[in-house]
This record gives sequence, C-alpha cells and structure tokens, in this order.
Amino acid sequence: MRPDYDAIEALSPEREALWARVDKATFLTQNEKRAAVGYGPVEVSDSEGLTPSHDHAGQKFNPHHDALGRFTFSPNPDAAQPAQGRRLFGRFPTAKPPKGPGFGATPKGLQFTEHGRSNATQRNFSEQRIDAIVENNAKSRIGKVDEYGKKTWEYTDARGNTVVLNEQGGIVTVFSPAPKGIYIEKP
Amino acid sequence: MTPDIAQGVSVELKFLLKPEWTLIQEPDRFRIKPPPGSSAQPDFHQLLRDEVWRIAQFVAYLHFVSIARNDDGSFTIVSKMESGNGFAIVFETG
Repeated sequence: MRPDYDAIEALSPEREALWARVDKATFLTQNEKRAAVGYGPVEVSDSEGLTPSHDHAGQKFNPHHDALGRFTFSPNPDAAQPAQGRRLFGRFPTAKPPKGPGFGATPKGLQFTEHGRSNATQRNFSEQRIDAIVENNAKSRIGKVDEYGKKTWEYTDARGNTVVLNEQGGIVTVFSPAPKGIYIEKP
Repeated sequence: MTPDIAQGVSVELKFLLKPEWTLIQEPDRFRIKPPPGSSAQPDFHQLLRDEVWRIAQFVAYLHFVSIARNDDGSFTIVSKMESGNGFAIVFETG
C-alpha cells in the first residue's frame, strides 16, 4: 500500500514542481520519469528500448540511478546521500535514509554515538533540532583536527547551540553555552 | 573510556576550559592543569573547586557522577552512563 502524494493538497506545489522537473529531464526514460513521481513502470518499450522486464537484474539502466531507480551520486547507493542530492527530489519516497543500528539516528540519517545520544537526551537536543542545526549552518561549519588526527565538524546556530559530527557523520556531542549545555530555545 | 566518549568529552572540555588551563588526554582519563604559578595564589583552592564544580555540572552524565578530593589536593570527577561506560577527569593542583 502506498500513499497517493498527488491527492495531498499540502504537497501539491512540491508535486507540481517535481512533475515539471522530471518532465524536462531529457536523460530519463519514460519508466524512470514514472518512478521519479511514484508511478510503476509500463510494459512497453521506451525510446531507449529498455523496459523493466528486459532489464537485467542488478544492472543499472541509467548511471545516475541505482538498480531500484533511486537517484544517486555515489558508487554505493545505500550510503548516506549528500544533502544537495536529497533536496533534488524533495519528498521522493525512496530517498529517506534508513534507521541505523546502535544508538539510533536522526530523521536525516545522522547516527548517534553513545555519548552523543546521552547528551542529546539530557540537554534537550531533539533529533529534529539536531538535523535543523546541521542543515541550516552547513556553510559556517568549522572543521577541526585533534591531537590524534581525528577530524570533527562543528555546526553552531545563532544562539550557540552546537552539533559536533565526526568524519563518518556520526554525532559526537551536542551542547550550548548555557548552564549544563542545555539547548537554547528561540526567544 | 571508549573512543567515542573520549572524543566527545574532549570537545566539550576544550569548549569549557578557560585560557591557559591545559588539557591532557590519556587512555583512561583526562588531566586538567591550572595556569602555571596559579597555585601560589591565596584563593587558588577556591578557584580550583569552582572550576571542578562548573565543569562537572556541564559534562557529567545524569546516571552517575562522583567528585572526590584527593590527598594531594587534586580533584577527580568520575561519571558513567547506564551502560557502565564513562570517563574520569583529574584536576591537578599545578
């Protein structure tokens, strides 16, 4: 069972924009365009002579898509997608990153370390707040290398709420300049 | 002290420490040293106590924390999560 995104009025501007973008994409086949807007394939040959029934299992039919028709920039389609790549298709259903094992992940796919999860909980940094801090402060992030050669990225919002990620995108810690490092709300 | 905890606590201590205080990371603990010569000041012990309290309040996990004053006047903070993983910080006197 799949939701009918076209029937949800709140999504209609985004769906229209998606339809327009997909329609203009000359590098996509008809079935790839149908997949991009959430429709199933049709069993007729398209202009490239490839249909899903003729497609060999596991073989890419477009260099920008994986075997499931998902848009990808990397050789590993299951790896975390860059933020720019996720924005391209907005609410594209299959673009949502999977929840990982261990100490959980944010909705955008940032994995928690044990320390990061503990501090996020006790300092009131929700998963949504962490995603927002990282996404809204990417341009001003600060890269640091410690004395052991480990690299971190620090994302800080205007109020001083900070999220520290490691090289793998894991959440090392979160804190603010407030007492006990608790998240500072908007005034 | 797991690598993730060591990295996380290290980042926070660097954020918290005042200028001229020194952070040293060892496999099983952190050591914090006050500025050179500061231990000769008459109010040094109160200053050190205040720093221990300020930093402990910030970095400690809710599950467990202890602050001990050692025989040589230094302080040790130990904090653990529910899993038993945690860290130790020793505040030296000079």
